[in-house]
Amino acid sequence: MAVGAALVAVGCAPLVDPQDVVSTERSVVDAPVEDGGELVIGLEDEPDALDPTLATTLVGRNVFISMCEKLYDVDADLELVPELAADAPEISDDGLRVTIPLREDDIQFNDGTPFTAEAVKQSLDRHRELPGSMRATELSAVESVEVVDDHTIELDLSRPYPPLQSILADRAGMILSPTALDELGEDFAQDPVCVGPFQYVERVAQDRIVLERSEDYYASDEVPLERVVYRPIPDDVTRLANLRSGQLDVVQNVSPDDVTTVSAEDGLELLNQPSLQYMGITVNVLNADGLDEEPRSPETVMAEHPELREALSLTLDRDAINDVVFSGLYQPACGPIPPISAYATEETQACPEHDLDRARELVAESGLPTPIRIEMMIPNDPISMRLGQVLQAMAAEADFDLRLQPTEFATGVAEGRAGNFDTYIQGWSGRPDPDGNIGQFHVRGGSNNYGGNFTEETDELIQAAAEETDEERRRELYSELVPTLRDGNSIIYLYRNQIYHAHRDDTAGVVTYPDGLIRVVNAGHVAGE
Amino acid sequence: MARYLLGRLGQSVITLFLVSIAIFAGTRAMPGDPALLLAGEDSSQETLDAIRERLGLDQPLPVQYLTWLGQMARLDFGDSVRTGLPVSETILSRLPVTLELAFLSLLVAAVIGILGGVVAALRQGRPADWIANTGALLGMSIPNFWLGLMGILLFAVALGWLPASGYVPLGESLGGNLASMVMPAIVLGTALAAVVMRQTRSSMIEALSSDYIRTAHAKGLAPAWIVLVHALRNSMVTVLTILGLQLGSLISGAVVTEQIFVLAGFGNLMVESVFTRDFPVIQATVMVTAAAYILVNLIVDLLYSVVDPRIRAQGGTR
Repeated sequence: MAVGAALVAVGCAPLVDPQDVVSTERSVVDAPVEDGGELVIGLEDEPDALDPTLATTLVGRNVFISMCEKLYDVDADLELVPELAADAPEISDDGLRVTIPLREDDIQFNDGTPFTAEAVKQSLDRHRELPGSMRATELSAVESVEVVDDHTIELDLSRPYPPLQSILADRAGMILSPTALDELGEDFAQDPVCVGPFQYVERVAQDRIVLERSEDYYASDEVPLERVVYRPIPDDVTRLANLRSGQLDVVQNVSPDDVTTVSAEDGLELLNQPSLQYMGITVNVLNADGLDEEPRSPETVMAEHPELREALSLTLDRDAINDVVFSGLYQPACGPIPPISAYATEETQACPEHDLDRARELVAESGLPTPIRIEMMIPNDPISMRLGQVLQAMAAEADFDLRLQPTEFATGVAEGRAGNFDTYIQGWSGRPDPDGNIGQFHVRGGSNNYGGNFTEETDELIQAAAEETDEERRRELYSELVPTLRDGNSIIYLYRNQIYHAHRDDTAGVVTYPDGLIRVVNAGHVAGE
Repeated sequence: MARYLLGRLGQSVITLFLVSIAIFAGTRAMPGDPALLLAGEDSSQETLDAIRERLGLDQPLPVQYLTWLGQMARLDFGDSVRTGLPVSETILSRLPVTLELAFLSLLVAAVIGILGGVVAALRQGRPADWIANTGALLGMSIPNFWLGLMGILLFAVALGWLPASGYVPLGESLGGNLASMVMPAIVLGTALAAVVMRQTRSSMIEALSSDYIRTAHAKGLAPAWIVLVHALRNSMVTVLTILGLQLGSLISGAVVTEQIFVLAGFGNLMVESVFTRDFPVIQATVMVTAAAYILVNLIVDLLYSVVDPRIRAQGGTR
């Protein structure tokens, strides 16, 4: 429903410079909160199964973070910190043995079952082995999980795997109650129990997920809220209207069309964080027959003429895209590693200048008749369509005839995988570890490498970087790798989202980091209101 | 009458069977792949294969179809691919919301539509007629979502009289329930009211100019009696047909209305399940909708014989 414009007239908000909004990062509104109460959070989509082994959606992670703690967590700077683990993992010199100390302070699952090394092993084994497990690939380097003693586990790896700790800071590191697992087995999602500040109460599909404060949680006296309710409301305009009218206390992802208004609106508070996400144009270079088949060029002009891919990239003025499509509220992007990453270097952050003359030269050098026609598969939502039209206009300046094919999401993913596209506007939610943003998009046979492009050299470099345990050396490897990938232009990076969540001003303590998750452990209603 | 009813029921079963084939073929022909959607961002081939096996999507299509038919015969619709919750439970929790919405909207439509239609017919060509006609034109042309959003802005955001979203079950609080349903019912009811009003108006004008009305006037019957009992009753046959036929627009309207007011209803469920390629849910919801359609048409046909004795006399051959 593209009715955003109809709502702009709400309240007469003073004019706000978007530049001020972007630069005011804020991860939390601090204020003393009272004990008790309920917080209703509007999510932008319906979470999938509430089973950490099977779950895949980004939106679902917002619910997990309130009810399932992990071995590790990330802090405001995306540094890994222990959560259910007692300390950082100890890694053997050959990188093949990882020892993880666990918390020893008698903690319990939310059903009263004690948290033990045995329980950790059971969950990790389930993540690795349950048929249909979505964690199996993430943990594929793990060969076995051993209980050393009550508070120590040991993972044996088949290859050195530095991203392991960050993997264990997400769903693969969530530990499930052995009692609940024995009782529910595959149906764990129907009544999930973990260690966490809140315990699952009920779920009405597409309506609400209700959690209640857990008395078994080790720090339950530090949790102010009595209840947390998650409501999926996909339409941006409706979600915001519900925040304004008080049906919701917190909303996920305010649309860029509304961000400046919300930032200045009485009664609402805006949270603002840089993200790990990116959006780009994936070019089908070697995926003529689908990801499961041998790489083969689709024999399109874009696949066969790398100089045209470069030309297309040079026609794009990323700052103008950000200004026109996102009111200047996002960031231009030219590579897979976000500027907030510990691996961001001058080389990985470099951006090709908008250079129309060079683009026209390259088009002329290709010797092809102009205009050069390119099909572009693009999500069919209003903001993506606006992006498509801007790209179209920019590319036309260098004689590209960009044809947009608006495609519904599910169809787009299937066509992308099957290789039925010329170019495809595709995004990635981003991972703290750089390999999570590079590996599967650029190596031969990578599960998200819809363009199919790879070279022997980059494959080797990607693997070397993924396995390097020395941080400085790893940074050097990425500084070498990213420019190579950029020159290949198999993904033409466009922009990076900024995270904008909002809540009412009678609420405080809602925390957001660059991972975008809404953390409400210490949130509550402002005392004395 | 009993034979007529049995015949109609038999027809309904065959229709439902044909519908089930169409639904199954439709979901399988849809572009997109539930396994790929479920696998989300980390979709290796092994993962996809494992999901297909878990969902039974690796079986040949005829086997999948027969398995589904067998399940339905036991009134089991399987588990949702998206949430892992049983489909029948989900549908049962959703139906009351949409049924209440449909009932209240029909009520709004019937009251406004019939009242407006009668007044317009009696005051044909005069200001009241003009007002009713303009109102109907507006009702038909204003899109649901716009009206809904304006309603939310005015009554929920600006005035704070009504909630912007959500559903309060009838059993929990009557006041809360009505407060949560009044805006959706009016939004969904207005378009329908317009159609009913136009139909009532033209049938009434036709009825009012017929011979038996003149006779009734000549007999000296009270004008109100003539309008309500003679003219209106005879106009009701066409109006009923329209109401029955409008069930389709009611369902599609409910889809939009439920999304604006974030009501966890049936329409919302249907749309979401299509976007997530949740085959068991799509199949079950479309099947239930088809069954509802057939049932309502059956009821409308039976009602004809109540309003029009001639149909009853002919043994319901129409």
